[in-house]
Amino acid sequence: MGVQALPGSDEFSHSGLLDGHAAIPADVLHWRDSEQSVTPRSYYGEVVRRLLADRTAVFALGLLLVIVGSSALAMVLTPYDPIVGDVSSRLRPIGTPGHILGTDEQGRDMLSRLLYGGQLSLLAGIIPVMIATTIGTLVGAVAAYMGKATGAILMRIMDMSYAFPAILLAIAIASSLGAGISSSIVALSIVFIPPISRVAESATRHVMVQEYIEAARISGANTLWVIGDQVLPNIFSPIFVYASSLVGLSILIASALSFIGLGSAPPAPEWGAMLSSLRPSVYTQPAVVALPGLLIFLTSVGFNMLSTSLRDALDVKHS
Amino acid sequence: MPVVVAPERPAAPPTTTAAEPILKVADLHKTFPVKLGMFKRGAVSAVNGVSFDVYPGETLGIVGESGCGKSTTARLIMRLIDPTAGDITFDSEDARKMNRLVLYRRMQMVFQDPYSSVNPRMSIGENIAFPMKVHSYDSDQMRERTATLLRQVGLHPNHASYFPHQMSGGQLQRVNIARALALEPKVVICDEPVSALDKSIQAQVLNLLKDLQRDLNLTYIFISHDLNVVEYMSDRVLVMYLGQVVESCASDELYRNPLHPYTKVLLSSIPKTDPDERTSGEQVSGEIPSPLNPPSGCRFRTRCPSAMAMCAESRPLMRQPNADHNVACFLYESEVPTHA
Repeated sequence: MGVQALPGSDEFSHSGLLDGHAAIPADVLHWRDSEQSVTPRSYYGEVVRRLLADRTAVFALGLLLVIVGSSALAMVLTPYDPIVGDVSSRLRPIGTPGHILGTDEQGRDMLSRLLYGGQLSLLAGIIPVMIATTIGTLVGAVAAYMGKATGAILMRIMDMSYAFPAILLAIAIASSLGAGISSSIVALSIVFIPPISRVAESATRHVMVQEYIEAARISGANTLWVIGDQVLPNIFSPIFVYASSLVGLSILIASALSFIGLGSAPPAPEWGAMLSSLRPSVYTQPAVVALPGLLIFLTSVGFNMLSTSLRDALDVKHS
Repeated sequence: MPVVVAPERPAAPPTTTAAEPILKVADLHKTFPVKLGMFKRGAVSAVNGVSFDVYPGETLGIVGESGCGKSTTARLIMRLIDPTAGDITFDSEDARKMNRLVLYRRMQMVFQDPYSSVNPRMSIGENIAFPMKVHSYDSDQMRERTATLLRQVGLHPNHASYFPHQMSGGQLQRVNIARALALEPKVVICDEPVSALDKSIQAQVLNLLKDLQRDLNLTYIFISHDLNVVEYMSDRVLVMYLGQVVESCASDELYRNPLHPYTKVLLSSIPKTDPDERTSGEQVSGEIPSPLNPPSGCRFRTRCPSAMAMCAESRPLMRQPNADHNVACFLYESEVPTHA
């Protein structure tokens, strides 16, 4: 970052501070001339810069890019059909020519199943978090803004869900909705709304007492304006950090739901369902059986690492 | 070495009521309900019967300890809080009933903490332009006026694209001032505008405020707990204690001839820079009473060196022992009562 003279600083040495004044001698204004020009950097520009300077973050981003990217390009990357397999070549080990990651118990190519499965698992991980973030933020922010009785009632309703462990609640909701990936998405969204609303409520309460909110109100802005323009951008960071840590958990629980038969049904190549169907073959080809589990693990860990780095990167203090 | 150019103090405004006050505050009260336990309720009497007038073009200083109600008074006038009782009149109109958008074009406020009074997610330009956006200025007007305001407060117009975390406290306070001036108000309430800044920066910002007052014909209500700062900035001063005004007079008169015992104690507590002039012994005893349960009668009586029996019985009214010098103290009970 080079240091440059402030553009146009010359003209300011000779003109007065305010119009209609006698020119103030140059040495009086020396504090301004010596001010160095700094590249304006928005808050998010600063966050990105800090994120990319963190090795963990770069590694996590790289890992996730590979996983997400290859899942997205599954159609391009493999010639095999993930649903129909050749039973005569079942349970081939890793490194078999033609099936680089082996085949499963129905002779389906593992690599293609894993990549297509990635689409399902990632969707089951990300979509519930996005839905829960939208609804949870609304609930939490409104609860904090309304305060007193209304806010308290709202938050106590959210608290009721803490009586159940997340996975039990997810199982209960998913089983009542029937099988299929959409029921696990709905179940997970419901499970994640209360914790996000808590984070949103506390973040909003913290922001509401800042002086810039008072300043916004004495500009004449009404409540809606204040919340939209001034409050929401400031509660975004803590909510985003928390939500990103939930993605890993969401993928895990979605896989668990499929594993017990509640989420994606076979022959869908979802990672959890794959683990379930490969389980009997664990003594025959353990490496192949472990593959979906490995991917669940890597994706979860990747999102968790990213979430931790994001928390540090978003914590921009004054220079 | 920079040359310090001291601006001349503007002449004191007419001390008679020849000019009409631009802002009149009459008998302002504010009580905050508090929970003292599961079922007990209490009330904090933060502002109790405050009245004053502000004349156009002057700087009215309000000075007092932390917790005396100065900031609450400021927020009551700005209608950030609603008063429990009392009237606020701006330019002969009832400020309590005025349309908010109209009121905020006439009266604005500069806040104390530069770091928390600017929105960290918006650029400096967006922060300054927000009031204009709310009042539907068009984007060209906003851009032009933001540049003008930045120049007026001594910053380069390029600063509009910087973000708060890239600026220092002194610069952010200038941004605060620029935002307060965005709608061209006539009255600006400065709530401890320099308390959070270093001494050297304080001087710069105070001089800036003085220049702006002269060039833009502003009226200031200047709130501070720092007596030196108030003396430098104000034409008239109000001294507040525990939610009440105890003395009000011209600034130099206050420092030359303080009448209320509390004012005398406050002034004697200013540390002297000359080591031969040690801070004298007029110490005030005890802690400031809790506003939950203020002393009966005169609220200062529990710490007053000249307390008498009658001080506990009733609250002293404002008297005018000298021209334009009002005190609320039984020591001056025989004097002419102030009409307010």
